[in-house]
Amino acid sequence: MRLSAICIAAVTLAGAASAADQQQKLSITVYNNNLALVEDERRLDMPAGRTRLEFKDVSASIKPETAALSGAGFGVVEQNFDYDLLTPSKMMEKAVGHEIEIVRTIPGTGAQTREKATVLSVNSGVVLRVGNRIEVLSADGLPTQVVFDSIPENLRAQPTLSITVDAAQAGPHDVALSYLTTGLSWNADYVALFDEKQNTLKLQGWITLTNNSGTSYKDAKTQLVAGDINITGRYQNNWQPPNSVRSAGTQTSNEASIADYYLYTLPERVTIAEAQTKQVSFLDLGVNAKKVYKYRTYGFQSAQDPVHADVDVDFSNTEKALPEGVMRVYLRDQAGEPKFAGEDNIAHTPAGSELSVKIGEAFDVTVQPTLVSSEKISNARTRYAMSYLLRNAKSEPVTVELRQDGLWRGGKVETESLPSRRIDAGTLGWSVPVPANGETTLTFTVDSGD
Amino acid sequence: MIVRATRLLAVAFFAACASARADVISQRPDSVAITFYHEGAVDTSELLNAGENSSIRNSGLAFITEKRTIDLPAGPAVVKFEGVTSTMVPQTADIQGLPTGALERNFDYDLLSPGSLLAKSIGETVRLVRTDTKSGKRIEETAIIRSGPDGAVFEVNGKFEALHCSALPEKLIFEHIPGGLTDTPTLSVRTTAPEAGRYTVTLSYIATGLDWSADYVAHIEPGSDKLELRGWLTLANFSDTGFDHVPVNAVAGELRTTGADRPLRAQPLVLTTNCWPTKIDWAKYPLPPPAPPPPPGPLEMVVVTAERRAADIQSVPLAVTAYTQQEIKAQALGDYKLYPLPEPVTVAARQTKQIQFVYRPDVTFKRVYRYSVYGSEADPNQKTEVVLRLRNRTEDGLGKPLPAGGVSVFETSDDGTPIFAGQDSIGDMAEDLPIEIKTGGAMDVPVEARVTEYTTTGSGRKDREKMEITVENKKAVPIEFEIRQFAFGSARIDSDAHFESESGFAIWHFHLGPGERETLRYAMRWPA
Repeated sequence: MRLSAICIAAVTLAGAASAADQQQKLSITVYNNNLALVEDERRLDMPAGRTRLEFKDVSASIKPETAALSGAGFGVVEQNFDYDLLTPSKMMEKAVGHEIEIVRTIPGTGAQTREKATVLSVNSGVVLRVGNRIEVLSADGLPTQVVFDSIPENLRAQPTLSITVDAAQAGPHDVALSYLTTGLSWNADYVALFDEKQNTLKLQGWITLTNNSGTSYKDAKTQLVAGDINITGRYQNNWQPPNSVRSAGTQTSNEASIADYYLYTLPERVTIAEAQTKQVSFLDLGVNAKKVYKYRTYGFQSAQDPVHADVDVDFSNTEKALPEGVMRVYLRDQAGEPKFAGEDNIAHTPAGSELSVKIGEAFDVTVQPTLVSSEKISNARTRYAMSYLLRNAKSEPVTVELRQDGLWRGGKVETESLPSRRIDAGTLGWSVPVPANGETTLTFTVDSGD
Repeated sequence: MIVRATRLLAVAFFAACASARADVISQRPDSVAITFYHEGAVDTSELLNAGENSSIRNSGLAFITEKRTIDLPAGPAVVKFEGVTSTMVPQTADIQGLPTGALERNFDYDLLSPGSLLAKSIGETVRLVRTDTKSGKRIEETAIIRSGPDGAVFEVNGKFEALHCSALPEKLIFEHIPGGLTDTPTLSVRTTAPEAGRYTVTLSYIATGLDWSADYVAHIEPGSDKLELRGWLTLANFSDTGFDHVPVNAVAGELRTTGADRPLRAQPLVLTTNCWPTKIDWAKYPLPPPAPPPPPGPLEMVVVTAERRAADIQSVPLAVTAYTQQEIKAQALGDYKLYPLPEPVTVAARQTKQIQFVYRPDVTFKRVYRYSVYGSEADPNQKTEVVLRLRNRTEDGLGKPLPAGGVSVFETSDDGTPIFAGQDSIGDMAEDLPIEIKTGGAMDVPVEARVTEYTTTGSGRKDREKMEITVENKKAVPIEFEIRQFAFGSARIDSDAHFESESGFAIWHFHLGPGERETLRYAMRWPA
């Protein structure tokens, strides 16, 4: 198959050297946002002087403006990217003014006649001159074959990158072709097995690489860049997944880094096939983690129904930076089998950060807020009396981290049934213990501030 | 000659290297277990109407665990997993039990279709088969494919022709399937076994197209203050994969999901012929012809989809497995509730199945007629609601975690026929929580509410108003009646009658005998 491909290249590319089969070393650097840098090293035989090199096996989603060919002993004259694609109708359009052969089948006998014809126009129908007659192709509805002598030079089966080089000497040259391509992207997928008794989190990270670029990359050295790089373009997606980082870390991860990004290199060369999602393990980490019940409210109001408390898993990623991805948390059921228990997005997270991953809501732990009263202190200040009924239907006591937002300048607690902490200027926090199969009512009065 | 021989050797060596990595195919799982998660209420008629390509297939969430037995040779191998659920979310796959773990996992979805066959054969030699127009005999020629699925051009004897543009029968015969094309998206894993042997591996993944919800049915006998409550686990499988006799769990509670767990839908390449215009309609192009930009040729489109034929859509059986007194005890899965079904069940593709998991024959309830005022003025459209009040505790005949779902209430009429009395939905109800089921409006409890007087401040702000609400019980039985005034913001309520405050409402309670009338007067104040 390889040999036949070489033969065909020789037949079709009269005048142009095909750079198809000397591909030697591929390196690919994949970014998070649907972009990859491909570096393609090969050895090419060049005659002295100008030669047009066609690169047919580059990515089908190449950004041709970014292509660059480098190497010693030659200069680049020009590079072209041709995307006038070969189809039957295109071939007929390009045949205007040229001669074609038409083969007609005579009904009844089935005999075939061959005639030369000149294409006069192709506008909603093909007008031909056959001898001295002017005819419309297939106007009689009879089977008519059309045979062309050649394919117009500019029509190609695939979009093709060609580079014209000027070599000082004939002979093999080592060249490196680099370009950016879309259709390749990656993100991380984490499998986090949480043991709430032992307070540990077993974290496995997988790099998930997706190739929709239309081309396979054989035995490529593959690197992945974690970080948000800026890309210009007509459309920019500035959406960020909700951040689960509570406090960004200051440790340096032991991954390689380039500029301000982390770089992950796959341990061996891989083949990234077209239409493939490839996953490679890159992280195996055991960390301490604990489960936290949280309830956060942004104003002072009543709810008619109890609201379930959030269940968060809090941990710190010591040692390792975590690239952006989805973290799926698993818990063991009574039989010891891991079961899916919820997932959260995490952003690019430096090592040593404090993370808080929300996995879901607690069935048995609920909070029901009631605004007992509100009265005006001055034009901008209000005194709110709140009552929070926390219920726990579990057979063990729990502590709910309750956060009350909505304080303004000078806002303060006047009375409270449990001591509060000031989390930040506008937020109060209580750690509310709720007994097993019991309830706790937290009441407080605040001056909202202005 | 020497160079050539070396190259051949190299090719042979390469081939030997390639074959050293064995392909192992795991055709089907030995056993499967499914855990259903709750995403939304199961609505079978909606599922019935949804087309095969509807995005509804992407909703729902299940965790599937498969046990498979594979025979690994010593050395590197690629294990291909066939027969996985068609809605698998590939990036969630996890494989345990391989002797040295997985070097990499791949999910390939470059589908074999007429279009991809042609696209991957550009430059390849194929056989072109035609029929001799005179004799009808088959003529076979060698052709080289020159362009792909957007309109094929091939080369025969140094000349070029277009495929399927002549109206004559012709076909291409391919020698082999180009590498990398697969009939169905396939998960594979690259691994190395230190020694040959038989291994049991566990493949687990998240799949969509599977959902469950709880559905409750309450029956009330006339005059009774107890109701019979049955809860059904409604399992829905709207994926293409059926599961035969598998253990099933259902997880209740709200899981956080990111929306990223969607199955990968492979799009097969579409084949077009893209011929020059061949059907000439003279009437449509009168002379002189207009000079339009050259339009594309007529498209003859062959669309090939890779969907496996779905199970017969006409028969969507609603299989009901009922053991009249059956209950399923919830286990804890972290802070969720896990319901293991008592025995393996068959969950066929496009099927809704119901299994009873709650049966409580004597649940104490209170029927309350309730009238609510939300604004500062009575809404004339506000009706008296009928509310059933329960408490989820053992002494009231309940005391079970009740997963979110719909509640249908049936009341037995005097002649013994059950009548559908209304429907409501409840959230996840932990033990000991109060539960309210609104069944509908009451016909026989008319209420008249009006503002009798109000005052304003100097600046025109309403600061006090008096309300008068009159209710009459036209039913033949005594009723419990409630008036609720929503006291939002800084409203104060002045009332001689006793009232309670709950969830932001002021609530007055009344017991009304048959034919009894009652009038409530209260005032609302909004202090400055």
